Amino acid sequence: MRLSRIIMALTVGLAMAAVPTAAGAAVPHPPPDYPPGPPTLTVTPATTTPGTVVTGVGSGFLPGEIATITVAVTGLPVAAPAAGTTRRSDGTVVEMAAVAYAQAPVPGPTITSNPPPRRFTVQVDAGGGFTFKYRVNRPGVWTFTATGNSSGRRASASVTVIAGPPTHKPTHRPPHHLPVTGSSLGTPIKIGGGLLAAGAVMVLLTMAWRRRRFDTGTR
Amino acid sequence: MPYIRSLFVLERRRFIVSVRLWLGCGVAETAGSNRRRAQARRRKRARVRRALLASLVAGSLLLLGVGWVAFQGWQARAHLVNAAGLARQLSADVVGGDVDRGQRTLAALQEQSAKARASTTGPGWWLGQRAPWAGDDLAAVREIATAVDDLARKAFPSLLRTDLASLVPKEGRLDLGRLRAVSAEIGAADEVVRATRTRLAAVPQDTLVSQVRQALTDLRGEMDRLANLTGAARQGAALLPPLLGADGVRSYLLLSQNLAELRATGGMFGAYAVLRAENGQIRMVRQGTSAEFGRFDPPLSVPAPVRALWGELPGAYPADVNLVPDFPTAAALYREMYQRHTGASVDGVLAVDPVVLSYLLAAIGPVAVPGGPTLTGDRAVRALLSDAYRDLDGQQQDAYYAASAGAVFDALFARKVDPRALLSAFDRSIAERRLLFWSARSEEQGMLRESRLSGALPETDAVPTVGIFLNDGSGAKLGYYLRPAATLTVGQCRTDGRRQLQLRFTLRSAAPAAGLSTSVLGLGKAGDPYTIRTLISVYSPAGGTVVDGKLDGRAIGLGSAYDRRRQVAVANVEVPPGRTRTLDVGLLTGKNGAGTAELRLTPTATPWTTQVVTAPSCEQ
Repeated sequence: MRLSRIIMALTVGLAMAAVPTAAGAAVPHPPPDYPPGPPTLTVTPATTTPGTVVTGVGSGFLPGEIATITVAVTGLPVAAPAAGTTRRSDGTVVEMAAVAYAQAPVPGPTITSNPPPRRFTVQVDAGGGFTFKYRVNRPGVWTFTATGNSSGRRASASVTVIAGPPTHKPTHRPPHHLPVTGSSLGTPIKIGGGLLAAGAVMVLLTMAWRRRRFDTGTR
Repeated sequence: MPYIRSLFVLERRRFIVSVRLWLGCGVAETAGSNRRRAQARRRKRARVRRALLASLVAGSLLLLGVGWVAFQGWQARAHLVNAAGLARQLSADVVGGDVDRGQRTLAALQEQSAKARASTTGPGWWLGQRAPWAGDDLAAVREIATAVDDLARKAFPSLLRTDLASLVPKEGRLDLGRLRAVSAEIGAADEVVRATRTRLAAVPQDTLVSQVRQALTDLRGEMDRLANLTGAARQGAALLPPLLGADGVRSYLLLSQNLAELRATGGMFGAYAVLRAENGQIRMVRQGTSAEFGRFDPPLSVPAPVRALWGELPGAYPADVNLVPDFPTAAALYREMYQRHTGASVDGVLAVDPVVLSYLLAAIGPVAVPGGPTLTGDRAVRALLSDAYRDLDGQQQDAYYAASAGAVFDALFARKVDPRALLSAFDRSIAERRLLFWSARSEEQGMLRESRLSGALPETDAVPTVGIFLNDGSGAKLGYYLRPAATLTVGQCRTDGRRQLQLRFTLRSAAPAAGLSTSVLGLGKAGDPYTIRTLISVYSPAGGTVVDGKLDGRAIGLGSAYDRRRQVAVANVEVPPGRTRTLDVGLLTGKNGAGTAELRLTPTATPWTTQVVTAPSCEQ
């Protein structure tokens, strides 16, 4: 008796849980036309520093539906990768922790908790759009994926968070460098000059020698 | 003069003075001791004289030796300068197709290089190379002379023997036997070039005098270019026979990119033809349009970055497979769609656009198209991308495109064409990324991947490269009227090793405000059918990022994702007729302080106007 009641409760629970999914699947939405549309989720700025609050704007969702936003963080791509270490950017490498989050009223939630939740929901307005604000707290590629709970529409956007001061190196110039000058004549001039000097020394030596002989001769 | 003389006799004067003083002070001296002193003085003088003479002789010999080596070096330099001039002349002769003149130039070049080499051999030079100060310079000059002589004797003759005519079809087919012979010649030349490059790379250059170091650096640069050229030629000559069906029949899809409806690699793949290659003979066996395929539901699986940017579109519609600029991705998707639709498989995909057609027409001459105007080199782009839409209805357009593709293809294989003109048309098309090829066989694709022909978007950059790729979002055929321009400015260095880049992209529409047919205006997704909606994908350099975007000075949200270690931002730019819109995008490079940058662009019907403003490297 007790067991059967538990089983019944579970069945009812499962059925209840399945209803929204089935309902979502049941809402007919026409297949998209072939021309690509403008982006339906944007998060600005696209590149920022840890601690910044970024703004997400969605469009093209079903008016009035709830959209679930999942956040995945992966490492920054580096410029010169080792062979075979291609990083995935679709967020699948990071486990998404489900965090219960109270449904926020329009104009959308501002999420500044630390650590920030990896999953939250937003209410889509009558125009099919929504906004949210979210504090990114550490370096990496933050990928936001919005899924319409009823429409099944999906859109994603990535924000790059770079550590370190965005300040610029002071444009530092060395005090006063003489311009490096040179010409292809340098070597011939050096060789020629050297030979000339050697010749001069030899002439002097000869003269000195002769002079000395002359000196010795007179004394 | 007296001063110098006094310097030389100083010691003796002092001696005399001291003797006089001593004489003056001394009272009694014997005659015998005086004689001994005189004798000693003479002996000493003789010794000094001998030493002076010996050092004079040795010094003269040394100077003579140095002079001889210097003279030989001077001669070697003169010969090498002559050889460099002749090498330039030779390359001009080869490109100009003047083989007789090329042979004469080569003979002169060989003479000069042999003389340069001879000047740097012999005992004097051998000893000089072991001298402490100038030894490494002499060794480097010798290496340079040897390298130039090796190239002149072993590599250039086989390159000159290469018959360019064997690389183009004759009477409908390529002579695979001749192609194989050419391949062997080029392979031998490539071996020599590679060996020479390795030898030159091993020469230490840190302690060389600036002139020799500069010559060595220049020669290394030339060798790198030459090795790239011979390497590519060798690969191409080795790849062509199997691709043309030497080892069994091959079939390929020939896709025509419609530049009137832009896609990242050029234009929408509107029509296809199936080519069969057998023993060097190529035939067109079937033609069709992408519209026949319909929509794929469920869509084909696409790589995750592609899905993040464009959702399921590239896997659902053949018209959308090239929303991303990586041609191998697009070609593989199209091949799969073709296979699912027809059940037939192909070995690879070749893509061309109307501009390629115009280059080919310039080489082969006007081609008459049944049911339409004759195609000529200077009018083909306009005829295919504008006039056909204005004058013909949907079905007539398809028929006209199929007929013109067939006519140009036949003319290409049947006519007697100047091989150099044809090769330069192909070369230009490949350089502009309008002629793209992907092989479904991974070993062949691996060989092609590095070349521009592959259209692949690499994961690394030699120079920070910003990509700007255009996709039509209006569902119209208005791409012909777009006038894109871009200025990329290299900005400040950052403390983290990255560098700022600023991109200004402008898009002007030269479309009329009225009078276009519905087949041009299409779906008019931007609302006003004459307003062209273009989705601009800006790809950061590898390892870099996109920072922000402004459209006409106002900050806008950008769609973004990562593809091949590059952050990609997508902006929607809608241009009414006659107007210009300006998109400013801030970017960061990867950790690379280089002062230069490059642009990679969607090839369009009207060429881009571009400018890259460089800056000194961050290390300076």
